[in-house]
Amino acid sequence: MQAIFDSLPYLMIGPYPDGPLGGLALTVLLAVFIGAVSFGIGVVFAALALVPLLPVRMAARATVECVRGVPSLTFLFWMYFLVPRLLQIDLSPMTSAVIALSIYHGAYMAEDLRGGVQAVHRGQWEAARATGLRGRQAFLRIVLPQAVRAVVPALINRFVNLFMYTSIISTLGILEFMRSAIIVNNRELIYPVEIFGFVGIVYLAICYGITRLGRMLERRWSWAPRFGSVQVAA
Amino acid sequence: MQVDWEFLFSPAILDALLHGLGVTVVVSLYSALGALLVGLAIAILQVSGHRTLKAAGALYINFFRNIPLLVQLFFWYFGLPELLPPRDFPLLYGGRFEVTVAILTLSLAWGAFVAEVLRAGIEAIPFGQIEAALASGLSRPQAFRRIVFPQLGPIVLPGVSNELINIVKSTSLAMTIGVSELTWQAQQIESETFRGFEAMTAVTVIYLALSLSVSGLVRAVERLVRAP
Repeated sequence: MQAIFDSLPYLMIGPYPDGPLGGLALTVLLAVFIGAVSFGIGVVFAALALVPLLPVRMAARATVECVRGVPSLTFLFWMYFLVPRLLQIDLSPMTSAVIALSIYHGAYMAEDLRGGVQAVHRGQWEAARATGLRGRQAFLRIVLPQAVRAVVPALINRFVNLFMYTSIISTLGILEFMRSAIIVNNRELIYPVEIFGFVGIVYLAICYGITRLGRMLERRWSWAPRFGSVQVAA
Repeated sequence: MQVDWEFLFSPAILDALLHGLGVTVVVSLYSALGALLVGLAIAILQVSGHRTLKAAGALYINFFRNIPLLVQLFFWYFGLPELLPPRDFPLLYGGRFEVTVAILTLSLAWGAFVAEVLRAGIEAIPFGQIEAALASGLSRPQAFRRIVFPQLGPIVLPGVSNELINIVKSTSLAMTIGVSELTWQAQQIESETFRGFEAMTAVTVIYLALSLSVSGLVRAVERLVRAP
C-alpha cells in the first residue's frame, strides 16, 4: 500500500509540473478528446453510409468494416510506424495515437449511429412525410430526435470502451495511466499485485460510473426505439 | 518507399509469420473455449433465480468488463506468481507462461461478455415453456438442460460470433507480455528489417481473413442448427 501511496502523484499526473502531464489525468484528457473527434468521424461515416447513392454507401460501409476487422493495436501500429513513412511526414507518437484511436472508434460509432437512425421505424418517416413535412424537416424533427435517444446509451458504452482502450497507446511509450503504472512497477519490482490491482480498480470505478449513467438515460428514455446490443471494440 | 512483396516469401519471414499465425490461432481457440465455459457458468448463475448467485454473476460481469484487458494481462502476468504459493504448478509454468496467462486472461475477460450474450438468449426463451416444463414434472436443471439449452443456439450465435471475433482481435494485446503472435511478429520484422509495411499488410490481411472466416463459420453453423 505504501508503494502505491508514494507513487500516487506519478500515477495521477505523471511527471507534471516538472515534465509533461501524464498518468490518469492524461488518460482522461485523451479519452475526452478522442471521444469528441471519433464522434465527428462517426457522424460523417454514418451519414455517408445512409446516402441514397449506392457506390458511396458501399465505400463507406466497406471502410468501416475493414477498420473494425483489424485489432486496434494493429491499427495503432499502422498509424505509428507505416503511415508516416508512406506519406513521408513526421508524426509524434501522441499524434499518431490520437489519429489511430479516433478513426478506429469512429468506425464503431458510425455503426452505432447508423443503427440508431435505422432503428427508427419507417412508419415514423412516412407519417411525417404524409403530414406534409419536407424530407429535411422530417429527418431533423421526427427521425433525428428519436435516433439520438436510441443511440445515446450505445454511445456512452462506446465511450467506456474507448476510455479503456486508450491504455493500448502505452505501447508507444506515451506516459498515460497504464504506462506510468508499468514504469512504477518496473521501479518497485515487488508490488505488481498492488500496482496493477490499483490501476484496475481506478479504471473499474470510472468505467462503472459512466456505465451507470448510460443505464439511467436508457431507463429514462425507455420509450425510445432500440437497436440490438452494442458491440465492443477489441 | 519501395514495396517488395517477394520479401514476405523469403523463408525466415514466411516462417515468422506462420509461427505468429499459429500462436494467434492457438491462443484464440483456447481462449474462445475458456470464454464459452466461463460465460455459460456465469449466465447460469444469473438465471438461477437465487439472489446471492445472481449478484455474484453480476459482480463478475461488471468487474471483468470494466477493466482494460491490458491491465488484466499485466496484473495476471506479474501478479499470478506473487499470488500463488511458491510451488511448482506444471500446468502453469510447464509450458510458456506468457501464453498460459494470455489464454487465462482472455477467457476470464471475454467470459463476462459471452455471459451477457447467453443470459440475454436464455431470457429470450418464452417463460411459458419453462413453466410448462416445471409443471410436467421436470426439475429446474432438467428444464434448463432439455428445454432451454437446445433452443439457445440460433438465438445466441450472432452475439457469440461477435465475441469470437473480438477474442481473435484481442489476442494482439498479448504481444505486450511477450506472446509471439501475429502483431508481435510484424513489429519484430519491422524493427529487424525495417520492412514493416509488407509484414503489417500481411498481418492485417490475415486478421481480416480470420474475422471473416469466424463469422462465415458461425453463419454456416447457424444454418445447420436453425430449427427446420
